[in-house]
Amino acid sequence: MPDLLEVKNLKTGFHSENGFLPVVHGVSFNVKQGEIVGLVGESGSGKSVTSLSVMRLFHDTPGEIVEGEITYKGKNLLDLTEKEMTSYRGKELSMIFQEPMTALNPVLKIGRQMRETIMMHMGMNKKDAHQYAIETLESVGIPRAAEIMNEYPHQLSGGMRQRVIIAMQISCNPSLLIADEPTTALDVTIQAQILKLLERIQAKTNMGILLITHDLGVVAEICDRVIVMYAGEIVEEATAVELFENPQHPYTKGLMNSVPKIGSKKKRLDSISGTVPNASNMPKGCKFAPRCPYAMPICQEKEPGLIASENHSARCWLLDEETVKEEEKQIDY
Amino acid sequence: MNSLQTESAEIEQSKSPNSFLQFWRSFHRKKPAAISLYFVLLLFIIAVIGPFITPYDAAEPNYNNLLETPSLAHFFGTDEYGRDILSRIIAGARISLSVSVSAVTIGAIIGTILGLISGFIGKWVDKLIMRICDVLFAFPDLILAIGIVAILGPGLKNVVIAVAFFSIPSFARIVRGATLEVKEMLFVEAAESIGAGRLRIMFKHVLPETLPTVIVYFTMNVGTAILAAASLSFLGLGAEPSSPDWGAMLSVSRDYIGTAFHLVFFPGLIIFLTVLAFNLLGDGLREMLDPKMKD
Amino acid sequence: MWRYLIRRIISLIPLLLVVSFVVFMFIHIIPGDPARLLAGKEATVEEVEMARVSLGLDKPLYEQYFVYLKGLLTGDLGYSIKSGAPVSKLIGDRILPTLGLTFLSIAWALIIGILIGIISAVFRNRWPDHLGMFTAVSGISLPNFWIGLVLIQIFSVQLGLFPTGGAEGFKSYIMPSFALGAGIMAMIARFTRSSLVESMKQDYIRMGRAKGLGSKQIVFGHALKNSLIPVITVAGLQFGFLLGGSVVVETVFSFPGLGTLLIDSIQFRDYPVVQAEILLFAFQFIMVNLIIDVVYGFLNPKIRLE
Repeated sequence: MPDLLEVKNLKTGFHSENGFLPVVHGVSFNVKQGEIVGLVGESGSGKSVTSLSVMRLFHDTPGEIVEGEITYKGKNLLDLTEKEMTSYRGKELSMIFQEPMTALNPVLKIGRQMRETIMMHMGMNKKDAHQYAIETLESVGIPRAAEIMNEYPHQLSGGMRQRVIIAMQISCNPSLLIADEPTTALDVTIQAQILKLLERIQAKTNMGILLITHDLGVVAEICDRVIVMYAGEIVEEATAVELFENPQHPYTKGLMNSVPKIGSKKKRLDSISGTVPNASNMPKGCKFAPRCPYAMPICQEKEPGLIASENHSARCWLLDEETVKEEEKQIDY
Repeated sequence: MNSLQTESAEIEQSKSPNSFLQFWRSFHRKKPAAISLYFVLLLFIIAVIGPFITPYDAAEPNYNNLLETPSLAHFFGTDEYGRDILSRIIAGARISLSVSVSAVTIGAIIGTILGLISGFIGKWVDKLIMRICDVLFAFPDLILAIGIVAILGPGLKNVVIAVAFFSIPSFARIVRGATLEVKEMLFVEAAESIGAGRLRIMFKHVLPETLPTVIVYFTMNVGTAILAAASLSFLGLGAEPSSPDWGAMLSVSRDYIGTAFHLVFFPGLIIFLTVLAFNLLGDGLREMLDPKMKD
Repeated sequence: MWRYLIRRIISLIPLLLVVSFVVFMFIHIIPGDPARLLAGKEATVEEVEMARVSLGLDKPLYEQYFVYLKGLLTGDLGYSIKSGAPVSKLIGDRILPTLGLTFLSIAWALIIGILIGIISAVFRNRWPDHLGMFTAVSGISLPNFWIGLVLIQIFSVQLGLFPTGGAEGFKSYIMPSFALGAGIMAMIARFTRSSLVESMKQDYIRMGRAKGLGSKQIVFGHALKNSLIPVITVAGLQFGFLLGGSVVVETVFSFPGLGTLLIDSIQFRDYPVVQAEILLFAFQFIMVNLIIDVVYGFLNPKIRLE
């Protein structure tokens, strides 16, 4: 399958009073057509900034993409003018956000917000767009869609709103959907429904989905492939099956231990101690070393590269047998 | 605020807390506010030493120089009695500043105390004070002031009372809001739990926390007060027409519009610049002291 | 919505009563004998006594207040000392020019203020923003009577374009409304800017961009409506500023409105007129705020559909 999206060496950061603070440090990955890729990490890992970079959504923020390539269907999005990019958003690449409660404009009716996208990207008149919007709403499982078109966002529940947003963002048949924590703000039962919905849409339209989440449970549910990010870097990448069977990076292992297993009697989760380092004071060596239970002396000094095998790659010195031997020798003496 | 902004805001906050020196430095980075501060300081100095530095006697008529246009001898020209307008403006600084500053000070003290009581004690006391404020708010500021002067009679002393009066409710509301916020904070509870008296908590712990808000509001209100006092004098309800009060000067010079415009121009300009300086200073302080107000 | 409206009106009744009581007390707070104040400076002792009885000033205070309230409800505001005419008629003659002046002022202040605010917000921290905000802070700091005098000097004396005063024809409203509206225009501009900047930070704006909306659609189709709702409220609060300012501006332009009537009456100690005018200004202010509340409720679907 061809690459739908290919991100190469992406560097993004924020301008602040103390100068430029990099948040994403040279990230590369791809999403193929018909694939659901999970982008996983704690808050502050740079996963949201990565996804916003793909959409180039840094208006009215101090964020800036400083380096890299984002190739979509063979075209580098970073070369497009803002106007060209605008015509891509919603039509070619779409995005749904974490907070369904605030992502819809509270003073405009659902219908108006649905129609404007459709009229703009599909060149329909108001009447056709209205009909098409109702059909799209129905396709994501919204009952009494025609009535909802005349209602305001605050009249709907959180789950309904997220459905409306999904309908809005897939209405123009984009090839790539970026879903930034689409279920985090919802009740558990609704979460499952929304994930099922995304899976169904994907199967029907064969679009690529980049799913950003901090929840490995969500990944296990629907993703084909997983990218784990830590402190602005990719630390592990594998197919979902492979990753869950054989996690290689200590960070990924830590994340897995913090997922509650069904039937497990443990009440508390083993979460990783400490927090993601601040953008303004990154550790010198491996960025995870300060929190890593297996850290070796070299980890504090030198940053490891991605060590790849088939279907799997991870950024950790432990995977480099020679280094491990060297380190062990030093400890022995 | 969306998550991205929260993230970048968190990065911003890694700055160290402000010491006075840092405060002073970053205040100076705000040029309009810094210039305004020096202008206001200059005005206060002029208000104190004004009578000693006027080039001419501000009150002495000179019938040889009536209505002279601005020249090297008289930078702002002379008025209908041949008095030097620059000298009168310098002499008037004391009147304008003392009237407005004392009025706002009185309003601020009474308003702050009412706001503290209202916010801190709550219950019916709060309700009563807030209802009184509602009633005062129902009268447009200047109308309230005019009404008070109509009762008490014209004159600068009554202008001070009138302006102080309409400043009270807004200070009361603002301090009440700030007090309610402070009340939620831990150290107030802690002070209560170790049995500190209410009055003590109110003045030793709550008041200092609300001071930044009061200072910002005070600065901006001085500007408003100068305008209000000038308006009252202009309407003939404030300073004596013969006094060098800026508003009174404009009131008299109205009759010379078309013949000697400088009589109108300079006193108005100085009122404008003074009020502008207080407003810009207030804006600058607000940005510094009240992070919530930042864009 | 209706329930909201009715609740708002009912909640105003106590305020209206207290305000009317405060204004009623006006004549009793003034140092001196109310009967003498109301009978006029030249009245003889007999005339003062007659006034006391005919105006009911010999009755207890609460009874006088009820009589006063009854008068208010039937449009009886007493009689002018100066002319002997009913106060309601004096006010009636002057109210239209003043209303026209204030509405013209607020109309252009809203239009230009919102425009400056939008430009400043869109070009945030660039020169149009700095220029717009400097204009705004200047507008707040300018004494409106001085604006009036400068306008007269330029447009009446020098250019002869507009009359220096009066209220004859639309032309005579232009300069006063400009002088009166400048301050409120400035406040609206500042508030529109900060409100719009705040709206532009909201999630639904980012969502709109993700849908592929251009900057124009974002600002005018999405952000502006949300930002203008609070601007309306601020405009209402500043209306008091306009009412007070009208007294001063009318004096500058010798404009035959409520403001000049108020100042003339204060100078003549025509207390019944002063009292009625202050009450009228307060009621106008309260009413405008009620209207603003209703408009706010109407614009905000959360309140409207409640």
